[in-house]
Amino acid sequence: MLTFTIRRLLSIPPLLFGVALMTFLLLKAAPADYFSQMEFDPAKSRASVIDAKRAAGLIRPVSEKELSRLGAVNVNGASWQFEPGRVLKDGTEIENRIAAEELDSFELRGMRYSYDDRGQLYLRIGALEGFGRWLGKVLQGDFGRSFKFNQPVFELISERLLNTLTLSIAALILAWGTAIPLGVIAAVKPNSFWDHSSGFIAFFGLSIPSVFFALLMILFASYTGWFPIGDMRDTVNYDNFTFWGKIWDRLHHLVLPTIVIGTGAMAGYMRQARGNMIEALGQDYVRTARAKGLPREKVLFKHALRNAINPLVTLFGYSLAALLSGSFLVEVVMNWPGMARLVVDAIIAKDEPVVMASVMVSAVLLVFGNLFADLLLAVVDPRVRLS
Amino acid sequence: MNASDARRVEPIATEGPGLPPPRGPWKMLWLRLRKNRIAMTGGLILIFLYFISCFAGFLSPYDFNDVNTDTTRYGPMLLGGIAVEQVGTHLVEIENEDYEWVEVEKPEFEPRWEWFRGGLTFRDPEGRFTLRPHVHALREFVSYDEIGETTYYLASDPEVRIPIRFLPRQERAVEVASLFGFFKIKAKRKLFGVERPAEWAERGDDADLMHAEVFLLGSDQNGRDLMTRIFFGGQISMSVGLLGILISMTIGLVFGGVAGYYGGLTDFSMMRLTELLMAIPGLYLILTLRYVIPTKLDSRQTYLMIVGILALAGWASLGRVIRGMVLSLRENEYTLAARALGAGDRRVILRHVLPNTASFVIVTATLYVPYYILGEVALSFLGLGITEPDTSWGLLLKDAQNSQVLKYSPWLILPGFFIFFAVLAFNFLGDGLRDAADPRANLSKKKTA
Repeated sequence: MLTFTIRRLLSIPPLLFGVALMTFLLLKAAPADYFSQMEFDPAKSRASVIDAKRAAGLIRPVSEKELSRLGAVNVNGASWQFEPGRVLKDGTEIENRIAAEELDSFELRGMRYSYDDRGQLYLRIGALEGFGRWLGKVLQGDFGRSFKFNQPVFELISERLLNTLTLSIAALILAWGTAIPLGVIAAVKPNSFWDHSSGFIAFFGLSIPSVFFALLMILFASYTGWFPIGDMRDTVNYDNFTFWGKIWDRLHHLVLPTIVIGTGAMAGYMRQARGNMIEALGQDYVRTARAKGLPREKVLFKHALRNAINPLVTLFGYSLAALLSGSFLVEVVMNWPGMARLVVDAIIAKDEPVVMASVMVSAVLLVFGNLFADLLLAVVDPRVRLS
Repeated sequence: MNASDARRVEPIATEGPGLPPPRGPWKMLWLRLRKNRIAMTGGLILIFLYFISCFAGFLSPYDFNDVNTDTTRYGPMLLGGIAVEQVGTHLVEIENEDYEWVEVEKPEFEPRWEWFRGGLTFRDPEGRFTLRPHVHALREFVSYDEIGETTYYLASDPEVRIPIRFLPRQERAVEVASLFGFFKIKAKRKLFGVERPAEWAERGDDADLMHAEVFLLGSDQNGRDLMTRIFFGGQISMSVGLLGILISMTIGLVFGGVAGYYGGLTDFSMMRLTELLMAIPGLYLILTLRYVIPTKLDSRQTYLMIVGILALAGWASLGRVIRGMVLSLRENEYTLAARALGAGDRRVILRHVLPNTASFVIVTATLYVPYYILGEVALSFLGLGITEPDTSWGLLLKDAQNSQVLKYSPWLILPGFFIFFAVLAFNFLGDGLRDAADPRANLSKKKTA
């Protein structure tokens, strides 16, 4: 068991490294970044854009040493000679402002440079070098600052992540809490009313798109007024509530999104539980147990259910892996202040550090969820350990 | 000729009295599928959905972007209509033609939804029963409140009915059929529509407030017919799934085939690549890929972008499963026989290994299409896919996102039913196909059930 765990654990860091590298290169391949709009904005000076980019770690100033190594370069048909604080065009010094306009962004031996009004030459940091810097910071626990909110990404994400996990775990409890009893009842009494209605619920839950279900629930809530719509707590009066009032308010807001996410997940688990239970009930050991006169409940719960639960244990592990992504669209529709809204806004605004960090968080959760599922399987099924 | 004759003779020899005629595997699949009523229902729903999206131009009374700001958010005429009720009168000061302020009594109205009245009707303008469907005219009612503020309510005029014309002539050629927005066929007819009656011109000012429209499933915030937009939206929503799965399945087959057949380092590196892709949850991967593509795209580029993203995000898991199948098929006797006969790798993969994955491929493809449809819905719903004025089911649902809008125009949720039925139908059909393709699994399931 220990070797199995260690072997699986060791496979994770290279995988996450690969995911990070792939995602980082992908994001760098985007044709525009957060600062592209700033560059076209006449109200923003070139120097301020360059400062912002430098603070964001996209460009770095070219040092004097590198300048002298650069020597005379040929850009747009003219020869340029860079010296600290000034620039020579075809051998004559020209004003930095004019030079900055001509040398807004130019490419030289595969690298992108830009020159600013203050006589400084900047080099755009390449994707691989950028990745190295990013990784170095992340290993120290620093995910950078959001371009849009100008706030540490870690703070931004951790709060949202907590909200998302609250919702997902509530849905998980609902799904598993209902799936196993319903599945077992359906299996014990096949073709009964319970079996048919739970089968119907299962097909409904598996097929209904979460967006649509969430909208139906909003419609339901807006007509009956029984449940609040949107957000995870009362936006106006929350601070005036008593302690229990606050808890009630949060639970009240939690109900609808939990039902939407939970039903979809429950359907699959329930079908699985029913199938496993039916299979277990058909086994010889169950017949033996019955034949030797054990009470019905004992046969059901001690012999059949215990064997039927095993495959569900792994399914439970995988449902942990889907904690973050399962609620994505419902969060957006129901205006839940979780990861989803943050990620969508970051994608639209091209807020690179936020996108990068959220993808990594989602990947980490998925990978460890899968690991957990494998370990659970290894616990319940010794054959897995040995192979 | 001789060889094919010999093949044809052989089955006849095995056919005896009481034995069913021998059939090929595909025929068997079809025969078993046909008996599955749920799967056939799914198939019929799909045929219907693909039919309405292919003939969207002909079946719908408008073009998909016929904006009419006077007829916004009218309810679905198929189910009823909006009526106004006079709830009181108010004395309102109004400036008359001689620029004098006079007090006039003006009505206050309240709109009300009426089931199966005020929309589609089978009474002609004189009130007699007729087989030709009619719709009530829409009228803007001006309602005054105590302080003289006016509100315009769009409601049906119970007295005025307009006949629905079948195969009306259009002024210019419009799209009547197309294959998912490509290969358009144009003609000057639509299936049905209404015309503004000529006699309305005699009504003077009043005629400006009257509209002759047929909104079988209601109209949206821009006064566009929702049914038209749903039908045209199907062209995108129903086709991204098919195209997407086609592309990912091709990549998956090539990738899985090569990895599984050659094994070793090729297999190892290819599997690590799929693991990379599968380590990012689906929607996060789709959104990351979306990030790389420019925001401003024309409608055709957007469509291809969505198909491409969904296919790229989806092929990895398919590739892995196919690799597993190929791994086991590679060890089969017939593969060995083919190799012993001197067949090259390409021939063994293409002729012996991959064809045996065919039933799996078809079943999996059918069961995976919903994920692609939902992927498009998600992208468009989040505002990162299809954008106005184009239409798709995900984009149409986006209009229903505002809970206040949704409360007063609940029919905006109707596109959701189309998505739901499309997903349901693919699940039905896929389940049926799986049972039909693997009858033994089905038998054991029946036995235990």
